[in-house]
Amino acid sequence: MDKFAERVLRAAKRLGATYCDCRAVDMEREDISVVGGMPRAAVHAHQRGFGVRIIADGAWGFSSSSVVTDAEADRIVEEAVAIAHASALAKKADIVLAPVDAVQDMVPHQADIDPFLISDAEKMSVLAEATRAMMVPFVVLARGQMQFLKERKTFASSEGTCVIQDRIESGAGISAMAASDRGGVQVRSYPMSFSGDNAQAGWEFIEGMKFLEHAGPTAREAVALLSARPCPSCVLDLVVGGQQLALQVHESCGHPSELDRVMGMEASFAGTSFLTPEKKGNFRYGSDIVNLTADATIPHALGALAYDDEGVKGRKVYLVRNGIFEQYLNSRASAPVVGEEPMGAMRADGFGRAPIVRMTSINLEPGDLTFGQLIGGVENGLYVDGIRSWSIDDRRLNFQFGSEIGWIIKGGKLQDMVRNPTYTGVTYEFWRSCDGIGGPDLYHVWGVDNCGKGEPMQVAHVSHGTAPARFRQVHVGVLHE
Amino acid sequence: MSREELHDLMQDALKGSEADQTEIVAMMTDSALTWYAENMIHQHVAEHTGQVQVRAVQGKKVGSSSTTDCTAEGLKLVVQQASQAARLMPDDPDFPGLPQPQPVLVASNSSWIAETAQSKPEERVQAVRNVIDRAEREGLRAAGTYAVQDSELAVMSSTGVAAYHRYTVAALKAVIMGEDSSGYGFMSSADVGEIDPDAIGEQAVRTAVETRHPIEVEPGAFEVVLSPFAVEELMSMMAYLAFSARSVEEHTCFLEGHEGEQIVSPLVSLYDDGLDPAGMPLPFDFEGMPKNHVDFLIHGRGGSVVYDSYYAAKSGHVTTGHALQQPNDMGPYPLNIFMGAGDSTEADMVSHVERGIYVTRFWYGNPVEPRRAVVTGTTRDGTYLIENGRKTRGVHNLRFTQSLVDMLEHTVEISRNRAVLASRYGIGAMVLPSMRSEEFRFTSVSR
Repeated sequence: MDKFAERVLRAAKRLGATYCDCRAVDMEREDISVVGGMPRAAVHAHQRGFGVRIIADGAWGFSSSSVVTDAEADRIVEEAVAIAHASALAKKADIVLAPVDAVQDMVPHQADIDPFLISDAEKMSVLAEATRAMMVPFVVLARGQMQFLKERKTFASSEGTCVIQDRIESGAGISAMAASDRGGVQVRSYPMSFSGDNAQAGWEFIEGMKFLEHAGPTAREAVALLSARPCPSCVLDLVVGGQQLALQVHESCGHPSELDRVMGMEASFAGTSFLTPEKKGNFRYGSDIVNLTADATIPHALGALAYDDEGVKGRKVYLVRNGIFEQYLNSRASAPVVGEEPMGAMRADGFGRAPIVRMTSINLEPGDLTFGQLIGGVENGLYVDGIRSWSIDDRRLNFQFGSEIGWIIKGGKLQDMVRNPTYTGVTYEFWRSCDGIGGPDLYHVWGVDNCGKGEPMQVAHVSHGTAPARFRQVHVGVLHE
Repeated sequence: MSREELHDLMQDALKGSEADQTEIVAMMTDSALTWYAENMIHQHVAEHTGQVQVRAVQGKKVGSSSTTDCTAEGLKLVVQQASQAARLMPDDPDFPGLPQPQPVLVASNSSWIAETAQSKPEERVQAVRNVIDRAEREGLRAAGTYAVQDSELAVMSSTGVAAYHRYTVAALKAVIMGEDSSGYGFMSSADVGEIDPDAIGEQAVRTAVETRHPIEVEPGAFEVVLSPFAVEELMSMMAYLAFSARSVEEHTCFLEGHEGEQIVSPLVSLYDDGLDPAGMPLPFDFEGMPKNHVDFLIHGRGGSVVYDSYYAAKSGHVTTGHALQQPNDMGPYPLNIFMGAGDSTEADMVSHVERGIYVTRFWYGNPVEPRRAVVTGTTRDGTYLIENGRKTRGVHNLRFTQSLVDMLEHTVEISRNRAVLASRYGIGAMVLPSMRSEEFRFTSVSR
């Protein structure tokens, strides 16, 4: 254990803390963006600091600082202890942590080529080339972005755990916006919208995306959408593409499975959850073929982790098995309340924030159908993909999602393209209607780096393994006029 | 660190730069948050963070680097890194150079309040206990946050820009939950002494009690009365979709090409004003440029959008003082949105509705069709049926899919009173009234 962490833990003990952990983070970030072949931004950021979490008087206290000195360590510990004492004035019961084994470990990153060794100019040139290639007639804006993260995190607890974890993340995406003379605007993205796809990997992950190959087709789809027919408004069978399904899994399975949310801790911001404890082990969340896992062990997955920010080893659990809701994402304090073991889902955003229950990699296990079989099983339906818009209520039941693109399915074949496709439903009704899931060949783990939760707001990097899947009788094309 | 120490540190770092132009932005924040739920405090945190961001310019090349190491050595290093990054960057032909200094008006003294900066965790706990006690008396469950913040923003550049602003924020939020209902209360101010936990608790408890045993109403078009909290969620989406130069670039701005035209109800005026003491003033932006008053809608007629120096130069305008930290991918942004006050009260509005919906809050709004500002989201924490001029009972939460432009077009009443709603991002606030719109489309029911 390093001297700084030792000093923090000693000071906490001296001030009467019954538990303490110290998390020191040294992180570099790089964000690159290009518009229409021209550089828009290259931002390098370095963050270094530490956070101290204390239990004293049976209550939590936390403080953090970007000043990493001995004197500041003493001040922050003192403040965290004082906060814990203040919290205890309104406690109902003492905090009890589920026991875990103390571990000492050092975890290397998973990158082959350190992206921080690649020059900004080279990164810019990849995006410039791709965005220039997207500037076909009617495309008014072509954007590209890359983001990289390199982090060393040291976690030490008063229970004897000390873990050093290195992490490198790389991600990128491009998008084309097409506009018509009549005011229509359409966007297509590759490989995914917003920040693209992300992974615990290096520059090799970016090279594998082959942006130049995909730039033209992506732009042409955006243009084609301008003259596509509007999405019909009716009830149809729906095939949801892998990207869109990643969003569906995130919003309608990942978030409602967070045990802190279930216990009401997120009520004032993100809301609660329909997956209340009496449903554990008996609630039909989806059809028999629906198996959803939280798997922190998937190599290169953005949401994977060796240890969470309580020092708990990450592992794989089934949230939903054969359609039945089975287990929550949890923490050391919340797991015992519902009779679970901690499964390594406590994560904090940087050094400054206290860990809360987060997703790791939440995945819909693949089925055995080809894409042709999925579409072939639909007489009258819609195929959608490309995340465009999402909204779900504060219990994670009523959702409405929009996709970048859709195609009508008639007689088991893809037909006309449609624009502005949307679909809506109720979480468990939707998943119960799932009757086909694509096989391992169609399966991909998508890295999502913008999952917001908590107060103050924390952003987590998570992932979702999905293949396209088929759902019966879904309300599509929500009208607003 | 004192203001003078920060000034000297930044000035020394500027002197050491080898770039053609250099800009340093420092943001120092001490914050604390008491987070409660299920009638107890479940997380209680403090955070002390300093961040310095440097933009270095070499000809048309721009490099940027930031650090949390706010020592003299840390600043020296980050200036070097930004200069080095600039040398390795390709030219950005659109980059206009760092902006020249402009006079910045000093914000009112009320932006920074010592009592807020020095507030103690025990004081926050006591306030939270007042809310919890009120909820427990009705057999309800309280959740929420009490946040305080003391921030300094300083901008200095080699072109002569030197701007400094210190401000505080205190914000108490309560969500009170029953078996089948919930209510909401929120108050924010620079002055912790203005936060009234009893009033917040009372408002949230009353709503939770009044909306017990909700009924389901068929979705469709309704007349609505929206509380300032509900208006805030809608205006947040409008700001993103339509009020900045980036929204014009991305063709999502409904104002584009309609300057001076009557677009929505003449009752509606929307603007950004970083100097109005009725909000949470911020006299300059992250480039140290003074905040200009920008009208988005003037009595329903189309106005303008906000600019930073980059977008201004690119489109032949001047900066309005709305830069975020540079460079960034978000573009300029309005952080101090106001809706002009009307001459009504919320009670008046409800009394004028024969059958409609009162919305306390909206949740999880997201664009569906950006150009007409069509958004979807759901109601939460107190949705009432209005019948014959009275809020008669709670209804199940509803999903809406609605063009915000159409909603503003059908607005017929706006309240005199406006709420100051501090941004959850720790800078700026919206000042918004209640409003009545004759047509608002709910598209499904939440269970």
